[in-house]
Amino acid sequence: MAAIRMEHVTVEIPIFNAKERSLRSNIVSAATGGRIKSEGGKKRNVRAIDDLNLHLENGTRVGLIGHNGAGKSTILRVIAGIYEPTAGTVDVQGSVATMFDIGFGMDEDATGWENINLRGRILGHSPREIKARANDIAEASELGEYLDMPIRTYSSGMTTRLAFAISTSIDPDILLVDEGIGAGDAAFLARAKVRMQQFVGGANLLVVASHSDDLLREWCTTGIWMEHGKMRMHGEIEDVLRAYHDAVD
Amino acid sequence: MAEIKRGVSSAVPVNSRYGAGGVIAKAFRDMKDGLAMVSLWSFLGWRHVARNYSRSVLGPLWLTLSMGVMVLSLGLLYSQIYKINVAEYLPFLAVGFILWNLIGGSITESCHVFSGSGHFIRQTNLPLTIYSLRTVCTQLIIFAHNFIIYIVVALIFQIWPGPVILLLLPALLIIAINCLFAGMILGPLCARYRDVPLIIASLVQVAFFLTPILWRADLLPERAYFVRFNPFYHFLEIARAPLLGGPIHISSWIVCLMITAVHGTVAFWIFARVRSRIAYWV
Repeated sequence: MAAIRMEHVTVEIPIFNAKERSLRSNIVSAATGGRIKSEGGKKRNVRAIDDLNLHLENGTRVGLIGHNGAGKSTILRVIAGIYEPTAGTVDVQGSVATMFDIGFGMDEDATGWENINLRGRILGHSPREIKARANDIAEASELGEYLDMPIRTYSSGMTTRLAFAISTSIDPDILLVDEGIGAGDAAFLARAKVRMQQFVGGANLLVVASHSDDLLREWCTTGIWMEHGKMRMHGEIEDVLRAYHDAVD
Repeated sequence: MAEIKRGVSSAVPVNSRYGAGGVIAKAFRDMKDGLAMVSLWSFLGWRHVARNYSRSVLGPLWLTLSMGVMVLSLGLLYSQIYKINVAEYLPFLAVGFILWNLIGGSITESCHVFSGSGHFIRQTNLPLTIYSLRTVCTQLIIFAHNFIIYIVVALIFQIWPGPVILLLLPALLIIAINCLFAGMILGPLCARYRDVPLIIASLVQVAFFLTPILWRADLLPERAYFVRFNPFYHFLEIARAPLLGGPIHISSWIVCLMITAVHGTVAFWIFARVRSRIAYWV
């Protein structure tokens, strides 16, 4: 059973300028009684999530809607366990897989097969699991003999196909997706859609952040409208999309 | 304080950045889970070495070759300057260089433990200790390559230290553990303050000249305290003596163990305090 419970979650992300990134300036400003520091302004935090309460039960397929910087990606990163919230509690039940940056964990100079191993390992598979899935991944990537060549010789579409095939080879309880999937030729995109639907359909709990209304309508049943780190609306996907567009347009 | 509980995961990494308990318990769990993922961090450590040289024939041996040339030329030159027999000076210099490459390299690389893996840290929830261990592993792999220089030098100059060479293993273990601790201190510090790696690099450079690598400690008997208060001397000495068959200084071992204990305590304390902020800094 998959479930996500967030209670009074607040996330503050520090924003540093060049001066705050420097130990020397920090020491100088401390030694001069903060005189220099006051010129540079005080330490800034962006409140990316502001006192969020959210319960997502098994079977939920929710889309996160909102402007850039509304807190969508931050919520995904908190659920994934990448960002620890500044305050509040998070309880996640079930295995979590993420699809944030499709090209993540790929090595330009390694061959396709080596990348299946590398990326699979980073995603948390054991060498044995990767061995068992390697052929399935190779088939899904449709790269054939290209898998024996370093991926720097691939076109960007080919790299995406491989990364996509690796990412969708697992079977998580909770799937977190940020934005759409990348490029690829038309024939691949059609097949990728089928595989993505199987992948998305296989997860017991889906959270997607996207700016594409079509994608959200297709995958999600409910929607959450985020604004300045606060949840503005939570309901049926159509209702939320309509309310969001009424307010924005 | 934020508290996060996690269910058991099967197909994907067990999330060990989180869990119930205070910062100490979380840091401890991070280290425990990170250590358990031996195959992952050793794999990443190996890839890090291999990646830089995947398109050259000699691979990482380029580093070894350039160090070998440097040891040879400096050995010939300085043995003339110091008026010491080459057969005595060159092995000393070679071993000093190889070991300093490990110790100094560990410190400078510790600065980039987290900032250099920012992309990984923002994409996955692997235990942060993975990245420190990867650096330790990379340094040991580079050391293994450079060790070829020692073997060549030992063959040419007929050096066979005898069973005492077995002490090299615990010495390397102590150095590796200190490399891990250095990453837990310098990693977060350098992720937060981006000018620290530059400061550290200059300090390591100064330490290189103040440590008996190019020169022998017995050349300045009057100022022995100057060497004895240099921690790098002791770390160098516990590994150098087994390789050259020199006398074993129990005092150096004791100093190293004491430094390791203090270093570990400070490292764990800092890591526990800042661990949850690292993902925001990288």
